[in-house]
Amino acid sequence: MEVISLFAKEYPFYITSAVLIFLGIALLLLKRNLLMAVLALEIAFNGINLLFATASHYLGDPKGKMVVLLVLAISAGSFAIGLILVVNYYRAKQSLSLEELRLLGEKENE
Amino acid sequence: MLGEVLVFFYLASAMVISSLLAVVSRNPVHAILWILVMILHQAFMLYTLGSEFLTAVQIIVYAGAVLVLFLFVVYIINLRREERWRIFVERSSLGLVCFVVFLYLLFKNLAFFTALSPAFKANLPYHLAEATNLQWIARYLYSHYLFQFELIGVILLVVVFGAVYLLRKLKEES
Repeated sequence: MEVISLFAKEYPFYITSAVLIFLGIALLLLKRNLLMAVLALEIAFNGINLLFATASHYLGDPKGKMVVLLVLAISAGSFAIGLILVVNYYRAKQSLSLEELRLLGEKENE
Repeated sequence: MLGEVLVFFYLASAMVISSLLAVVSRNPVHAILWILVMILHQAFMLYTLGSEFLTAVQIIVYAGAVLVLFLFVVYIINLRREERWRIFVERSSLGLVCFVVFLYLLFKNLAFFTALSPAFKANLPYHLAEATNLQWIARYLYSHYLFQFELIGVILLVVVFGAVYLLRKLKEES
């Protein structure tokens, strides 16, 4: 592999978006609070948007920017539904801890 | 050139640091305000990439709609009890291996992108300079990607119905 200069034109953008995506996924796995996990997911969405916009600009293809628009619309809808589910979960369990979120896996409440 | 590099490094470091602070901070309102800082910096970074329409949409949709939604949820539920961290994976060597593998994939794909770029540019069927950015988006959105555009409308309608259904069920229970 050739030596990659960090100051070349489009590498910093790709590296920033990769850092944001990895950060979002890592914090999604690490957090114990459901609301903070949704926020971490939003960080990952922003990284993906930045990746699409960078590739679209440097490859010279305007389709990528349109994909960013579609991703924005879908992520806004999915965050709305996800936050409603968070509120419902809080009303049911009176906490947002992910440690107790085992309703689908184990039958311990019977 | 130096100015561009300085602006880029300011934006990138502000984005990474503010998103780290957002998820590390204990107070959820502070976390949402740090996310707001991150989104504004990302909007300006999209502007440096030459897409001013996406800047406006990013600020309106994320900072104006999604973050206000997050703030409402934080005010509805009160998070008094502090959630402690517990170690997710016991072995840190496994994490190191995953990190090295991801780093290798990242740089390998960067080399792939740069190898791709000139051939891709040579084969484009149009000249990018013949219209502005917003005109390109409109041209694609209303001609080639009309089905996806209509699909977005249907998805948002389903989101509205789902939200009303979930909240109605909540009101009957309580």
